[in-house]
Amino acid sequence: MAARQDGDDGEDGEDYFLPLEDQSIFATRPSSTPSGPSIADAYLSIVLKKQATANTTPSSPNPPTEQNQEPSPRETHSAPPSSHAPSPQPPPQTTDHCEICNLPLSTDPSKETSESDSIDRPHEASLAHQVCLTHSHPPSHLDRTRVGLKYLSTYGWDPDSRRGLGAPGREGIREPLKGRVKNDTAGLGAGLDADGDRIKDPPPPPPKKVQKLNAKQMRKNQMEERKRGEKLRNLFFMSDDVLKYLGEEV
Amino acid sequence: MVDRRSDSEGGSRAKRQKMEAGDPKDNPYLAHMYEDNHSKADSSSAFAKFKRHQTTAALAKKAEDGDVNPFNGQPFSSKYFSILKARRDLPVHQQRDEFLQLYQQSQILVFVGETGSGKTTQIPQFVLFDDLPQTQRKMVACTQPRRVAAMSVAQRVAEEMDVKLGDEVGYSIRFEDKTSSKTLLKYMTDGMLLREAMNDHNLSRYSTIMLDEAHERTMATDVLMGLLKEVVARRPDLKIIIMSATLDAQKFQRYFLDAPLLAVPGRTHPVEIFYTPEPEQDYVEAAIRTVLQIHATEGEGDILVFLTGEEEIEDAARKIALEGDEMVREADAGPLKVYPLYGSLPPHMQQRIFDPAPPARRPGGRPGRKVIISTNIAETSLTIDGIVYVVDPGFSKQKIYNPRIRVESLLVSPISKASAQQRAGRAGRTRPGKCFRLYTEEAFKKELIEQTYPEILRSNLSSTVLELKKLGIDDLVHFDLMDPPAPETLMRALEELNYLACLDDEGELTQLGRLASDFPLDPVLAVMLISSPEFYCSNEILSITALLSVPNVFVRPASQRKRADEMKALFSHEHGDQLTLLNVYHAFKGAEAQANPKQWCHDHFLSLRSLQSADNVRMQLLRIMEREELDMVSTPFDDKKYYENIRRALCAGFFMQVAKKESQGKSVYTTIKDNQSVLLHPSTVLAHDAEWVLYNEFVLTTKNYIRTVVAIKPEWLLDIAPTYYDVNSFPKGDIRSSLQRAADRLARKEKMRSERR
Repeated sequence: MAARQDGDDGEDGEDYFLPLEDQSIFATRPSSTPSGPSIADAYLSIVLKKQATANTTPSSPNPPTEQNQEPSPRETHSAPPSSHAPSPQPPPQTTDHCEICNLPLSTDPSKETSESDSIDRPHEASLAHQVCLTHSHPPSHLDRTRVGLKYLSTYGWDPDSRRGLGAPGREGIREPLKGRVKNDTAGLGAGLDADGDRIKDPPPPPPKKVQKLNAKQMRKNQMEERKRGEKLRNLFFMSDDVLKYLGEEV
Repeated sequence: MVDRRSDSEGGSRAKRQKMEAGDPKDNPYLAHMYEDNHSKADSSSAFAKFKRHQTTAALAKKAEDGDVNPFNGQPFSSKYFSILKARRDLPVHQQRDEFLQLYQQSQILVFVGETGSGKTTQIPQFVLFDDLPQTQRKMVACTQPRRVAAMSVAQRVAEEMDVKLGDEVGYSIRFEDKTSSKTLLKYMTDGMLLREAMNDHNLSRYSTIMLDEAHERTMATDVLMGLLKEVVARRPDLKIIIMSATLDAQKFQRYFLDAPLLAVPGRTHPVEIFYTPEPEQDYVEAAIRTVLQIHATEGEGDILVFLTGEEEIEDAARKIALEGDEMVREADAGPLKVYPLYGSLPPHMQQRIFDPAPPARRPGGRPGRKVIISTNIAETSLTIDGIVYVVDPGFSKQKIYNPRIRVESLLVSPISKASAQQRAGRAGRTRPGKCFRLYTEEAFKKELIEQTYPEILRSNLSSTVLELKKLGIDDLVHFDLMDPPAPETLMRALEELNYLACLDDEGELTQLGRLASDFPLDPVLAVMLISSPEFYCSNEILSITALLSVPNVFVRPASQRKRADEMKALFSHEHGDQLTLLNVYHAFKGAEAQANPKQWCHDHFLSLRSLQSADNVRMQLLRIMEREELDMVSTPFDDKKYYENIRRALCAGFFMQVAKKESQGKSVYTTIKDNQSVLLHPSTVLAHDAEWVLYNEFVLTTKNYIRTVVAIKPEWLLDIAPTYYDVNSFPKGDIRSSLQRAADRLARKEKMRSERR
């Protein structure tokens, strides 16, 4: 079904793709999101661990503060623990699997020490985990006050679900079809380059020759320019939204 | 005729039967009451030994070969037997037993037959001999996407069965019903069956329903398929046959829960396909060149060229005819006859395409050839024998609807691969042929989509939604359509119906909506018609509605444009085109014109055919108006409000199709709410620069035009459609301030009136 959806959108601009790392911002899965204090803890454990690894390699003793801090996140965490510091005691449950990506949560310490990269990163940041997250998308552009939307919503269609209409298993298109106006008699495939891509508009014509204008023409040009400027300003600043924002009555 | 259909519903049936006491034993609905009378005939009837849904081809053959027609008890004519012989040669006949088995076994069957297999004429007859609808007091229906096909096929099948058209075999199309109480097999447009379903949700009059040409995926066929899927669950006794050309048959199978599929090969010859090595810079010119080249170098056989529209076709036809004449003079080529073909061409001109190719100019000379230049109506709907060469530039005009600006437009677009195959197939009807595609093989593979998008994805859905609501289907989100439309398109339709007050704010059908769905019209026109008595002009609005439902009444031949425009000016009304149309109609109904309508229309550059069909449509609509007890009234013609009332009544339907003149820019208008810049179409008669106009059509070509416009006043809009024209809902600007001024004027008037009291 996913393939079908992708195929349908083709080239319309409504569906934009978010890079993975940005999408995770919208990911709000309660199971994967640590609760308030644990975020801070996770952060600390990342930051402090760096220190720890930096410290351990030259084989100097760990600062006492770290040792005090280390156990606390592990206790408060109900969500998968995100710290992987090479602690002297092995964690109580080494065979824990992440609910989302089904990978073991903490690998054995010997491996971690060998791969310094994975030590620094909590499990949630790993690529495998990110790929498995269900990503939520930006909400649909549809105006929520529309009567038609209200009707469809009462029958269970969610505008933000990025799904079409239809019986289960036979989902329809999500965006209306778009036509392209053709006003010439160019044949099929003319205007395409060798790869079948549409050739962009022809390059702009060479700049026009410099013209000499008399005073009257200059004045006229200036007037037109001013008019255009005013029109643009009106377009930008006289809109209801801006006026409302500026506190003027609309 | 229209009444009869809705009367057949439920309780009123008994009443009808009494009325048709003429010869009740012929009435299939009453067949069970006259068994005794029939027993004598029955014992000798060929059907005596028939057991419903257990017959075989051999049994049917015996009945067909008998002396007496088992359907009407009359002896068979000699013509019947000669047709029967030809029928038995059709490819479908080879598989009659196979068909019967599958038909008897399952409730739904997908039947695939290529053009020329005889499916449209033969399968319904196969069904009649096995389903025996007369014993169930039911009928067999076969739908067609086009009116013409429904009529002509019914005519043909009536001949094949040796019965009178309208008796055992009949047809039913919009504004025309040729069936009787005897009718067992009814050909009808898919739209008509859908209309019947609106009043009879289970389609209980039918024992078998065939949807023919399902691959064309018209809106009505698509909706019917979704509906029938629900009906078969409620009615285990109903059988469905989906008939399609080969393309995409599995899709139908999957949709109908893996129904069995029967395929019958057509009688086609191989077609060689040629591509161009390079893309063509100008497909029209390339098409002309290709035709002339075929004429110069290829053997005998007629040519079919596909182009996109009337103007393009006429232009190409002229050029080919000129060049052809020159080839005859200079290169001793065979004579070349060119025929254009498009929908708006009068029937007698369309008929000419069946003329034989011109003969060689002298015995032993090079053979003549005919060239048909056609829109895509020759792709499926019309079959022309003798075509050996097809020229396909790969374009057709296709409808597309943009719900964001609410514009339905016809755009020249690349065809689909399926369409290209269909076009090529036209060359192999009589003998092996050739198809010249004016594009590269690369372009065929990469540029063309697999299947043409079904109509339901390309249209405004407001009438469909109204129909679905009337059919009792409320859950439009999960209604099982083969290709569900985009949510935005459906939302737009719901909103339009809400503004028209056909649906209330909860989306429920209102009284007005129920009434509007009884009219075979767009909801805008239906609402306008229903509210017209309030404006004291229902007679006039009825005429205008009829005129807007038929092809253009004005004829403007390229050679006599000036004269035609002068004639049009005789009828023109300063306030706009709808009123001009009304003037034309009134003149047409006048004594002078009716004395010799043909001559009169010819003299005034009017289309007699359009005016006559407007007359017919008006009559049919009038019956519905009378049945619904809507008053037929007029404002006295000498009243100064005569035309104003009509213009107000137009607003009652078309208030969502309004444009206001822009403050700068000459005769540039902006459409209300959608803010599209538009120009008045050059054909308009609007004499003065009206501030506010209402339009019938938005035409998207090189420029955006609004066509068929009438001048109106913003006060009327505020008065008639206050929710749509809520001043506060408009953004600050020209339109809002103009509406505000109108509202102030209204308020002042109101105040003065109350002070006077």
